Amino acid sequence: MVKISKFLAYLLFFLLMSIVFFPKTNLFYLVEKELAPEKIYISNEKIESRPFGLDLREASLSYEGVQSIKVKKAKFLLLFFYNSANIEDIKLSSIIANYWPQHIQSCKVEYMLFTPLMIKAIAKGDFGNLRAELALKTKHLKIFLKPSKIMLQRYKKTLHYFKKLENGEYLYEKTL
Amino acid sequence: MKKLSSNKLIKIITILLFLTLLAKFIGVVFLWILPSATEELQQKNIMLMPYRRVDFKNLIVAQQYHAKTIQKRKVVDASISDMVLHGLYGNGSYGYAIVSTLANPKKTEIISIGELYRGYRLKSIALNYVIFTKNNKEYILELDQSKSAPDKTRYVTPVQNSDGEQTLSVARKEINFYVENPAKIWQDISIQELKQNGEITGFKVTHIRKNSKMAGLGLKRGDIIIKANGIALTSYNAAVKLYQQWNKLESVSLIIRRGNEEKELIYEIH
Repeated sequence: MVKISKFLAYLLFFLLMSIVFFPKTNLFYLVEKELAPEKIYISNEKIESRPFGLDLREASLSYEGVQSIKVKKAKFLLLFFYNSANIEDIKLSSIIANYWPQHIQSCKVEYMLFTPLMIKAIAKGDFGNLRAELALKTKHLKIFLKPSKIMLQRYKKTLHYFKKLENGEYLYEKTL
Repeated sequence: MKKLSSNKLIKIITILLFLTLLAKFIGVVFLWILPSATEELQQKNIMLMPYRRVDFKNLIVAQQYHAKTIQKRKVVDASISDMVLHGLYGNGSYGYAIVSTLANPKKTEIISIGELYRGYRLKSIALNYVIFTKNNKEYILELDQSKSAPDKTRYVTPVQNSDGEQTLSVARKEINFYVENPAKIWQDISIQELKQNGEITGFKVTHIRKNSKMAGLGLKRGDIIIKANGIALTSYNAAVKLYQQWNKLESVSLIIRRGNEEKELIYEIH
């Protein structure tokens, strides 16, 4: 029992050290490289590597050459067994404003080792509150939305894509 | 006993050091494998070419008459009512006036006292008008107040060109208003992409607010915008690129499908 505990302690130490010494900025460059064929580019970002994560500031995300999203601050926490991205102050392009309110206050995306086939996200903004789940095995996406007044009044046509639930939430489902 | 625990501690430190070095080594290996530079967006052809409408019919007609008209290109006397006084300086028999014709208000000329402009001689300058003479008659030309006066003109003015084709003259400040307040666009108009076999074929106007600035542009509910400045709107990218250039354009042409017919809306931005 003592031996197993020792082994686990050493393993944990090794994992933490591996995360500390891992080139996280280069890992981010790899993500960018993988996104490029999909015509998704992250630009103007200021990257700051931390022992257990990465900070991004003033990043712009472009899709098909069109600047679509501006992010003021994003904090990535990489702990292998628990990974998260805290994104703050997101502004969507004015062209998207036709379908969705432009300002997203915060968005948190989590991936845990204990639920390896699930990515979860929660977000808050002018649209209201949202939680999303993506099942990695089936690629099934579920978005639960608690719409704000603005969303209910001005974005009715977007809500048509959602299914109204009994608890007042709206559900959007899609298999990617 | 002390020696034993000290040995144990050294063993633990050695293992930890070894693990740290191993982690560092793995980090260096990954540093070598992973890309070392960011992927930058290559902004190819993001600038739209300045749009110029060319009417080939006019080109042929112009060539036919070119020889005849070229000799007649002398300064022709204008009527005083066809002239615009943009500014003046001086008083009485000293100073100058800035004038142009109504037909070409941007082509201004500075005329000193005693000089001729389109057959009229500048005689004197008053507070807000000047006096021209022609054939011993005096003509008063008042200062154009339209720029300083509050703008009560419509922001979209229909203008009939020589071919009887209607263009809409749009004030640039109205364009800038929408550029600075993009949310206002979607309060005044709603558009939705139209798809055929998964490809965007145009953008349909699904709602347009009555009496809004957008409604003044001549678009109607149900119109399908298929081309803008000669570029087929087959992607959001094309539409957004035009939108990004919106405040720099001098003219915009929209090809729309209204019912069963195609129509061209031409806007001159001034």
